Formats: sequence, structure tokens, C-alpha cells
Amino acid sequence: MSPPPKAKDGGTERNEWNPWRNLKHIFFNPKKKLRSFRNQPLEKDIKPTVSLPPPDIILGGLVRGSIYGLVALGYTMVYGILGMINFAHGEIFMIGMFTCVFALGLLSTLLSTTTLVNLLLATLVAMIFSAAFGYANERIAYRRLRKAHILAPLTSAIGLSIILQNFVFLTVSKDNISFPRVYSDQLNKVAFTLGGVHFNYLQFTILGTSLVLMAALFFFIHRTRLGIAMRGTAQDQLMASLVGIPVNKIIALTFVLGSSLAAVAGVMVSMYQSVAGWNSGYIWGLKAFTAAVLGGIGNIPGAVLGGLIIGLTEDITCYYFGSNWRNSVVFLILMIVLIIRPRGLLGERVADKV
Amino acid sequence: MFTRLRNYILGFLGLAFITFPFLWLSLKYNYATGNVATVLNWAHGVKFFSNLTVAFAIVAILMALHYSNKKWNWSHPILLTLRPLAPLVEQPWWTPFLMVVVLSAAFYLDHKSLGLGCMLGIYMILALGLNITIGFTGLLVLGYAAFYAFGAYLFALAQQYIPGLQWWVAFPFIFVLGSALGWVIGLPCLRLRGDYLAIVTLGFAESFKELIGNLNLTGSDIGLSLSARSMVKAIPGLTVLQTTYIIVTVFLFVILFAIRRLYLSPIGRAWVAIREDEVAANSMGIDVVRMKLLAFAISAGIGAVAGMLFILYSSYINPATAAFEQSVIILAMVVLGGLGSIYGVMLGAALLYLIPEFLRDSQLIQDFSPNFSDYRLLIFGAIMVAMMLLRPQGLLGSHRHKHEIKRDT
Repeated sequence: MSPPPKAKDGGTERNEWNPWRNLKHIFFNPKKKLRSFRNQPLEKDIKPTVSLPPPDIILGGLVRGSIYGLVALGYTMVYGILGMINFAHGEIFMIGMFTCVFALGLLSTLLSTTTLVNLLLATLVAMIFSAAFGYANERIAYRRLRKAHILAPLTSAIGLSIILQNFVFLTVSKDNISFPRVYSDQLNKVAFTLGGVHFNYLQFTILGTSLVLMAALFFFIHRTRLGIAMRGTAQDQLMASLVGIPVNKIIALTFVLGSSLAAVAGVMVSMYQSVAGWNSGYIWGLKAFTAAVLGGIGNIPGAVLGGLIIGLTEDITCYYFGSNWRNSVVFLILMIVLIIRPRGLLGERVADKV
Repeated sequence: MFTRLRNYILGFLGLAFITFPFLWLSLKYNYATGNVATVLNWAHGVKFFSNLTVAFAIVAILMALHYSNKKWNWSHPILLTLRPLAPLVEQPWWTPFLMVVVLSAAFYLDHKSLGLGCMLGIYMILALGLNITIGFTGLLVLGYAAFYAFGAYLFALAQQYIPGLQWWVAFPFIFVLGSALGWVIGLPCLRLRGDYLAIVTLGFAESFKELIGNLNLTGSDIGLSLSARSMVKAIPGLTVLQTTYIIVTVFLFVILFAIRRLYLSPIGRAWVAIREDEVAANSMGIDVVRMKLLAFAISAGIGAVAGMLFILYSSYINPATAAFEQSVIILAMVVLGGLGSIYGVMLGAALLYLIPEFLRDSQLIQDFSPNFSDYRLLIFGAIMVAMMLLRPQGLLGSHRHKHEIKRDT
């Protein structure tokens, strides 16, 4: 590497080797129009670069976050009871998306109506199917390997999630399928306008449904006999079995509950984004897991809180930096949480069991 | 004591000297002027030795058979000076045979098979690297392809900014930088339970893919393509592809040897102890976090080197290299071959890379399922589940690992 030869006028010639000339193109290529709004001159004149995000961004973030929370509940419940990450949870969420669309298609031909009752029924069908897949997941990937080394169930669950992804990829569609607009348009109406910003019913429906389901789950776990049995199993499986709790059934119930919640989340996501894809479960699952870790894995209010924080952060980041970086930001949060407070915001410190 | 060694060396040098003109020089006649010029012609000698590979192989087999049943007597004065090289010699009897056969394959394989061989070598290196974390230390890494892509992009970018950068100059830097990246990624999560690492590496791979897909520096979604000729200086007499094949193979042998030595060393035993019982290992005085970090960093470094080799072979890289599917394929190779088994993961790599490649070309498959390659990942997932349930030690796994994974209920 010899230093670049100087041109006569003092600068370097254009075609010569000069790393510094190239360096300024690392982050900015003047030939290419950047997608970020910040580089568009008109927007720049109107808006200062740093401003509070508008309320629709905040609401969008909350909606997204409530869905993350709903999916994160499945992760956190399984982790609480088994101490293992349910890797196939994102794929069960995706199964919920697809079965709902199938059920909607069937219902609209059978009943020849397109009311919201169909949507409710389809959601129920999606929940049942996802619960069945969750049960199968537990039976195949987890039950026989519960006492084995931690690597074994993890690997088999990853294998199962790959199978599910590619199964849908091969059998249904390689491209995204779209959610029937007849149903989503009924909810996608403007509810009210505040300061020039529209809020629609769909967003409030998603937010409301998620919060109601989370509250119901909290009630179920803390107030019912089954919930007490679940908490007992989470504390000590051997002791729980000694006092007459059917441990295997309780663990299966945990998977089933988490999976049906994920199915509801899947239905709402496909309605909100109006598409469903075979690989959408992967990235949503990853972010929901981040939410569960952020809130403190094994902790149900923590999962909800973590989900809301992740959703808000993601949408606000999209607003400021463009949607290219949305996955990286979530991962950055995960890293920071693991460095600073690995037990999460609401989690308790748990000693390793020997 | 050194006289005999010196004599051997002098004799070899003398032999090399007197045969030099016949092997490495050739004559160039200029019939117009009636003059003759002597020029260096490396291709000439390489061709001579390459034609002798079969003979070399036979000699290697005979030597291997000769020494296989005999323990080396290291007290011999000549051998004593070479004592540090003992592990190089005390290999299984078929090692030199295998090395000669694999290396000389560069001379008799056709263009397409050499390409397959290069990719197979790269996948074997990847599987060996991933085996350090998953197999030896028991840490699940799901985003291994990110380190692979990191090495590849690093080398490709270095090629653009430092024209004429050679791979042997770049390789130590790539290994060290890849290890440093692994160290940084592993630092926050290796203090925690093992399954956090799986998620963090998964997220890292996803973010890395996003990063290289967004930056103009890395060519965005299109990726970087380089010209192969500037990167690999062909050995005279061989094509670029043959040279690349030899480079990949030599790297494979070196990495294989290094990993075997590591596995048998105190470090390797510490890794196995951590895999079997972390708490017990910690109480026995093993610095668990440090050992895990070491395993993860070495594994990441090997992944980065494999990325560099991939650039040498294909001279093209795009963000899909860091995709989840790539990580899954490598993971499936390790799981199929046997977690923690060095030759097992190589077998797994060979099976999972070559079988789909051959099936893709076969007319039978073309007729019955034209898009067979779509089904590849489905089958890989099924392999992972089935292996964990039925044969957790893998195809060539050790019995010890079997008991460890499939603990009795």
C-alpha cells in the first residue's frame, strides 16, 4: 500500500486509488434516493428533525406492542413451567394466521354472509387448530426430552419450527396470502379524528382484545384451581405430582393456552397487515421473545410490559430512521437488556437448580 | 546428535538442486535468430508431480501401514528434535493416504466436481466450527451463518479497498476479527443460561443481514461481486479453480488438525465438562464463562475464515448468505453427523450437501418432483427432530455423548 500519488493541483486525481474518496459513500450514496423521509427536502422544511412522534405512531406502537405481549405470554408461560424456550411458538402463531383465512373462506361460502360473526368463528377455529399444533409440539418435541440435556429439546423444537414453516411454504403458498378485505374493512373504519390524525376501530379492537385476553389469563392463573396447579407444577414437578396434580396434562395445558393466545394474535396481525406469510411467524416470534426477556421471562405482567415497550420502540424508530432498521433495533434492545439486567424489568433472580 | 538430520537436509537440498533445471526450467527456442532462452516454468514441475500422485498415494499407504502398528520411538536422536511435531505424525494410519487422495483430486476432477468439492470443504469447515460450540461446549448457536457472512464481506471489502490483497495476508486478520465479533456477541449472554445464546445469535444474524442489506458499503441487497483472478493466484500449471480447491482442502486439514488437538487438550476437556455439568465444572475450578467465550470466539473465527474461502471460490456474496436457512443447514449437518464428533460432523456435511446436489441433477428426481430443492429444508427439520428423538448421539457420535444427551428419566 503506497500512498496515493498527488496530482498537480494538490488534490488526488479522480481515477486513482484513494480510500478517503470512497469513505464518504459508505453511508450516503448521492446517486440513490434514500427511502427515509429525512432526505426529502419538502418534509425537511416542514418538520424539524427532532420532534415528538405523532399520536398515530404512538397508537400504532401500542397496537403492535399488545400483539407482541400476547405472543410473549406463550413464551413466558412455557419458560415458567418447563424452563425451556418454546422455539416453535412463532410458527404456531403463523398457523393461526393461515387457519383463520381458511376458515373465513369456508364460512363465507357456507353461510353466504360476511358479518363479523364469521370472523369470531374463524378466530375460534384458528385457536383450536393452533392449540392442536401446540399440543403436538409438546408431545413430539418436548415430552420425551424433558429430562434430557437442554440441547435436545431445543434442537428438536427448532427442527419442528422449520418443518412447520416449510410445510406451509410447500402446501399453501410461497408468497404471502392476503387476508379477505371484506372482513378487515368492516373494522378498518375511522373511529374519530384528532388533530388531523385518523384512529380506526381495528386498532382499538386489537388493543382491547389483547388487554382483555391478558387480564383473563392473569385471572386464570391466579384464581382458578387449574391455574394454581400450573403454578405448582412450575415450582416443583415432583411435589406437584405427589399432591395429585397431573403434571403431564398441566404442561400440555400450558402449551395449549399459549398457542391459542398466539392464534388470536396471528389473526389480528393478519387483519392489521392484511397479509400472512409462511415466514412471518419467525420474526414476530423473535420479537415477542425479546419482549418476554425484556419484561422478565416467566413473568406474565412482564411479558405484557415488555411487549408494549418493544412495539413502541419499534414504531418510533421506524418513524425517525425508516423501516429498514426495525429488526436491528429490537435486537439491540435484547442485547442491552441482557447486559444490564438479564432477569428483565419485572423478573426475579432465580438461582440455578442443581 | 544433529549430524544425521543435517545430512538428510543437505541431501534433500542437493537433490532439489540437481533436479532443479529439469523440473522447473524449460527452453525457449527462437528459430529466427537461432538463439535459445531458459525460462522458469513452474507448470512443468507441477505437472510432473501431479502425474505421480498415484505413486505418491501408494507410497503413503505403504508408509502408513508400516507405521500404523508401531508406536513411534521418539527417543531416536533425529526424532527427538522433531518431538513437537509428534501429533502431526501420530495420526491414524489412513491420514496421509486420505490427504494425498483428497489433494490430488484437484488434478483429475472435472470443473463441476471441483466446484462441489470446494463448497463441500467450506461446509465441512463450517460444521467443524459450529461443532465447537454445539458439540463440545453445549451452547446452541443459531446464527452461525452471520459469522460466515461477516468473514466473506470483510474479505470482499478489503479486496475493494486494498487492491491485490492476498488471502494469506488477510486470513489471520479475518480469523481474529471474526473471533472478536464472536467474543462481543457472546459476552452478554454467556453469563446466562444456554438458551439465551440461541436467541441472541438468532437475533444477531437477522440484524446482520439487515445491516448488510441496507448499507451502500456492502452493496445493499445486490451484494458484492469481485473478479476471481485478482484474488487467487493460480499455481502455475493449474487453473484458478484447482488452486482454490487446494487452498480450501489445506484449510480443512489444518482446521481439522487444530480442532482435534484442541479437543484432546485441557481446554477441550474443560469444554466437555461444561457441556456435561456446568455447575460441577465451575466448582472444579474451570472458569466457565471464559471457556465458553473461548469456544464461541474460536468457532466464530473459523466461520469467518470459511466465509473468506467462500469468497475465494465464488467471488460473489449477498445478504442471503447470512439467512436463517443457511444457519439451519449447518446446524442440521452437525446434528445429523453427531454432536461433538469431529468425523461425524464431516460426514453429516458430506451427506447433507452432496445428496441434494446429486438428487437435483438426477433425471428421476427431475421427472417426479421438479422442485425438489424446495423440500430440502423440510427434510432437514425432520432430520433434526428425528435425530433428537431416536439417535441423539448422531450417526457417528460417541457413546458418552449418547448417555449425556439421553439421560434416563
